[in-house]
Amino acid sequence: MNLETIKEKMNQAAAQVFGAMYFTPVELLAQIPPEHKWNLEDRYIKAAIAYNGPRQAALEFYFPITLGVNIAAGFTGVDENALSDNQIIDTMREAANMITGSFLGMIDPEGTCRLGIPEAEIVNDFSPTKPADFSPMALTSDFGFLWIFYKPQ
Amino acid sequence: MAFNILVVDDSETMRAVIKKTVNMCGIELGTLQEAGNGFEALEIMAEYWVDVVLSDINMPEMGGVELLRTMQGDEVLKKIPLIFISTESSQSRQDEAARLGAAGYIKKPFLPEQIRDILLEVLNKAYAGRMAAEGSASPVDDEDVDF
Repeated sequence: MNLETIKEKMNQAAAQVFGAMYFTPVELLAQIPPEHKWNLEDRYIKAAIAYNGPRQAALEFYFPITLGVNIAAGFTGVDENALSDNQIIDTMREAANMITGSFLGMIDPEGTCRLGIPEAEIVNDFSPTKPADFSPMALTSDFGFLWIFYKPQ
Repeated sequence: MAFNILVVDDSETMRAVIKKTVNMCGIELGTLQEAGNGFEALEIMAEYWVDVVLSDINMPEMGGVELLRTMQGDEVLKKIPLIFISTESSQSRQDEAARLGAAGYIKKPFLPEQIRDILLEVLNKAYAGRMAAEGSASPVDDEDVDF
């Protein structure tokens, strides 16, 4: 499966999850934006997940903290100022899980692959250039770019 | 009649959202308990009566499929319907769940109405006799629920 198809399916999966569960539109950009438009935040929620089987890949999601806070507040019903880091991390870990699950349902309708268990943490040093051996995707949101890195294995 | 429901998911926020949705379904609830994996669910079911289990599949320590298999191997627990709520969305995965004895399958992301509809269908099917004996026609005490 070529990278363009993967990007198209990932865009559909992310839009479906963010739209249905979080009422927050996201859209894949055709190209990675130039560096001066990145507007990187100090903190990102990193969520890593893999799937295994006839097709195998690892994915890393980087959600800007403001996006994570907004989504976690809406999802849990807890005031933004009262949210703990754990609640934000857990919400975005589940978001990555649902996006990858939906994506896998599209590229593997016969269900031969198995989804791994996602892990998430807050990172302070994210740069889109860092996961160097992964293919990057950038999605727009009302709270900055959401980054997804895909690496077939 | 009131139903005891157990929500099993390794995500605390997802458990909270599912519980909130169940609370809004209009079903007369007894207890609404939660567990972070299959082992915790079995511990709860060893101590309390549960009428229906809503379970994720992909969880650490003991996932939903293993939980269902364990329940199916127990004379008492196998009578409790289990509904999967999972990110795994392929038809073959849903077919496999049905073969194993799952009472229903809800894909994440879900709409609250989907949880309500499947929950009502499963409760009506599994507990029709008990409801009739208790003079109750439906699991819901409020038919006009608006999400």
